[in-house]
Formats: sequence, structure tokens, C-alpha cells
Amino acid sequence: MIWLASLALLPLLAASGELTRRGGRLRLWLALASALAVLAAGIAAPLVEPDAAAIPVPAALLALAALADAMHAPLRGRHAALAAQLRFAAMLVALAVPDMLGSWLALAAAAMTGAATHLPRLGAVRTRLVALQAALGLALFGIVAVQTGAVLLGSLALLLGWAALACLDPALLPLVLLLVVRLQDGLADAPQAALLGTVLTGAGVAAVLAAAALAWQGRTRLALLLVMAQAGLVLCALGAGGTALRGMALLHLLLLGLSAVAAALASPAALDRAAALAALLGVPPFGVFPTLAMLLAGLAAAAPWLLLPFAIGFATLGAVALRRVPDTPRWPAGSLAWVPLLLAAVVGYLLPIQVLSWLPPP
Amino acid sequence: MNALAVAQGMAGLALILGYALLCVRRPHLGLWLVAAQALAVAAAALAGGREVTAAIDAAGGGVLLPLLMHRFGVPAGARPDRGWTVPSTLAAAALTSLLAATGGVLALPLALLLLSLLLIAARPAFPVFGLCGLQQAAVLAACAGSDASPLLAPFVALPLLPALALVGAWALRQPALRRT
Repeated sequence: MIWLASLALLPLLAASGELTRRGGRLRLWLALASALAVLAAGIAAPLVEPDAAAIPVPAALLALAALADAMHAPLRGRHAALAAQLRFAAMLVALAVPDMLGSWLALAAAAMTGAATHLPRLGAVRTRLVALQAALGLALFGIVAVQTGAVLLGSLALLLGWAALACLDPALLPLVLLLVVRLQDGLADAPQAALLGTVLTGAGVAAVLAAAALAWQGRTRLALLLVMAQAGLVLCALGAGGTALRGMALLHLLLLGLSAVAAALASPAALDRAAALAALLGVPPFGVFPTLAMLLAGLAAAAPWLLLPFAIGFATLGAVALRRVPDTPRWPAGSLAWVPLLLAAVVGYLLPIQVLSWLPPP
Repeated sequence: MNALAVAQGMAGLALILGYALLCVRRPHLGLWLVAAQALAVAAAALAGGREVTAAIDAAGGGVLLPLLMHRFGVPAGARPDRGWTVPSTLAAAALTSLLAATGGVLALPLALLLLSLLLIAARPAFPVFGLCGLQQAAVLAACAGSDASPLLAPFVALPLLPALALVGAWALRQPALRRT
């Protein structure tokens, strides 16, 4: 885990670069360089140090989240770019620290640094700060309850707190899901492990149905809701499938990260935007489709009734997405969104076994 | 009167002080109640044989934090208190406490947690009081369990959540950060 902690130095270096009074273009390049450097270093880590087998997937997931964030933050100004880099470093530290309380501290730092960077009005920032702090309080109570043996109450509070954090700041979602995986690993030998699986399954079903309901209302960004629904599927796979579906769920998260980067890079009302939405939804042959199919097949084998809420949720989201796509989307000139989409296709169809071999044994 | 009864009584007192926080209008009275709540939780920890936790909670949550808020002002929320009347808030609080009774060993901490969340939602003018309550609920939960690591309760007794609120309030006063 020292590898992950040392990777946090890269965004800190980029953050020191943000302090120079240069324009938005340099900030954008610094943010991109920081995310790509963490991605490359994370992938290369097991080649240098065989004990670092657990590094590539978390590093890649967090780097992809930072990459999606990097498309927007530098353009909002120097402090927003600085906050984005500090948050990236805090997210890496949160995974590097083995103790749950240490992770909570780093998660709090990540949530607080990102709190003031998205909203224009001071009142909205204040409201979000309070909501973030309340969610952190709930998560802290959950950690304490889990460690004192009340697994059901603790995991419920923890998941509620983490889910609220991810809803308030979607950039934290990969970190939250990785922390869920770690929590499940930590409780694998406990007698209440099955209880945690039930809670995770319930949370996953709730997430996909909530995403569908919010999409139907049409008030929230569709790309975020699609990510939320796919995260619900991952939670369900972790809960119902256990260790058998764990590797596939992490691979699904990787493809989801690539699709989210594509959505961040895409131009509005263009063909690449439609392709990115299709990738997030899992429309064949784009984005998350290969792992979505595998996860649904795994869920069907473990608990067939679980397919019903997911069918309802994804059908609703698909109908809403179809309404949002323009009838004749324009062809974007030189869009970079195709690069992550192509990468997702390569990883999903050609290299799934190789990527799965990165994952540490459960 | 044995130590367990004192611990239970003090935890109950912290819960009653949480109810009182739902009713106060003046922030300085709220500060006194927050300090008293932290001291009650510290007394519960002391009765449970957790001296270090009690000392940290009493010094941090019971003395230092109220003094800091008295000196620099209670961090204000996004909007003034409106909409929820005191009777309806108290009725909702009673309901949450009844729900928390199903929490077994953690019933009192859970009741304080739910009450504090309600306080944040119902009294948005000063959400920091609710955050202090959340912190105290975590301290009570850490003291209630016996098989936790020895560092858990002292760590949780640090006033982390109110400190986050103070840091957030300070950051929002900085002109450079407000522009982002």
C-alpha cells in the first residue's frame, strides 16, 4: 500500500504546479499529466514490485475519475484546479491507509476540498458543505458500529453515508466503491458477512431504482444517473455474487470509468455524446456492455429475481436516454471522446482475462 | 449506584440535551448545551472505564470547541430556521428515538445520531450543533462496544466533525476561495 501512498505525490506535484500564475491551458495539461502519470505508474507497479499486485485497479479507477474531473476543473480557475489535485491525492491516500478511520480522514479531506468547486452560489456551497459533513458523520458512526460488532447497523450507516457522499460529489464514487470492496474483504471471515451481502444487494437495487426515478423526472444529469445505476449493479454483484463476481465487478468499474471519461470529453448534441451515453448504459457493443452482460448472467445464476429491478431501471434509463439524443446528431470534429471508448472496447473484448489477472486474489 | 447505571444515565442526559438543542433559538445558549452534552458523554465514558476518551472528549468537545465558537462565532448554515415548528420537530424526534430503541446495545447512540440528523435538517441556521451531536453519538457507540480496537474511542472523541464545520466556515470567508 506504500505504492498507492507514493502515487499521491504525483497529484501533489501537479498541485504545486497549479500555484504558478499561468493560464487555464497549462492547468489543464498539468491535471491531465497528473492523472495519466498515476495511471501509468499504477499499471507499471506490479512489474517493478511483485507485492504491488493490488495497485493497478484502484490506481486506474481513481486516475480515470481524476481524468474526468480534469476536463472541467482547470477551466473554472486556479483554486478549483488546485482543489481537484489535492482531492485526487487524498483519494489515493484513502485507499493506501489500511485502517478504516485513517481512510475516513482522507475521505473527509477529499470531500471537503471538492465541496466548494462546483457551485456558483455561496448558499448552495454552504448547504452542500453541511450535507457532506452530515454524511461524513454518518459514515464515522458506521465505522464505529462495524468495529464494535454491530455489523448490520454499522454497514447500513456506512453505506448511507458513503452513498450520500457519492451523490453529493460524483467524483468520489470510485473511491467509495473500492472502500465497499475493502469492507467486504475485511468482514469476509466474520459471521455477519452474509448480512453485509444482503445490505449491499439492497443498496444496489435502491440505487438503480432511484436513478431510474430521477431520470424520469429529468432534473439530474443523465450521465451521472447512468453511472449511479451501473454502480448499483456493481453493489448488487458484490452483495449477491460474493467473491465469484468480484473480479468482474471491478472490471465493470474500469469500463465505467473509461465511459465516464468519454462522456466528459464528448461535445453536446454530437455523435460522440450519443456513443458515450450508449457506453454508460451498456448498449452493445459500447463501453460497459461486455461486463454488464457477464454481471447480469452471474446475478441470474445467484438470484434470478434481481434481474427484475435492473430490467425496470435500465429500460427506464434507456427510454430517457433515447429522448435526450438528437434525431440527427452532428459529427464532432476531432473529438477525443473516441479514445476512451476505443480503450473500453479493447479492454472489454480483447483483454478481460489479462486485466482480471491484475486483481489481487479475494 | 454502579458504573453501568451512571454511564447509561449520562448517555440519557446527552440525549435529553439533544432534545433541548432542538428548541433553542439563541446560538449562545446552544453553545452551553453543546458543551454540557459533550461533558455528559465524557462522564459516560469515564463511568465505562475509558479515562483517555473521557478526557479528550471533555477537553475537545466540552471546553475547546465551545470556546472557539464563542470567540469566532457559531458557523451559520445556508438559511434561517423556518418551516418546522417546535412541536412537529419534537414529535419527529420522539419517533426517531422510538425507532432507535431497536438498536440493541447501540440504542442510545443511534437515538442521538438520528436526533442530530433531525437537528441538522430541522434547524438549518446552526447545523454545527447537529454535527457536534453526531460526533457525540459516535463517541457513545465507541464506548458501548467492548471488542473494538483500543484506539477507536480516543480517536472518535476528537471533535473532528465540528472542526470540519469550522474549517468550512473559515474557507467560505476567504475571498479567493469564494471566487472558485
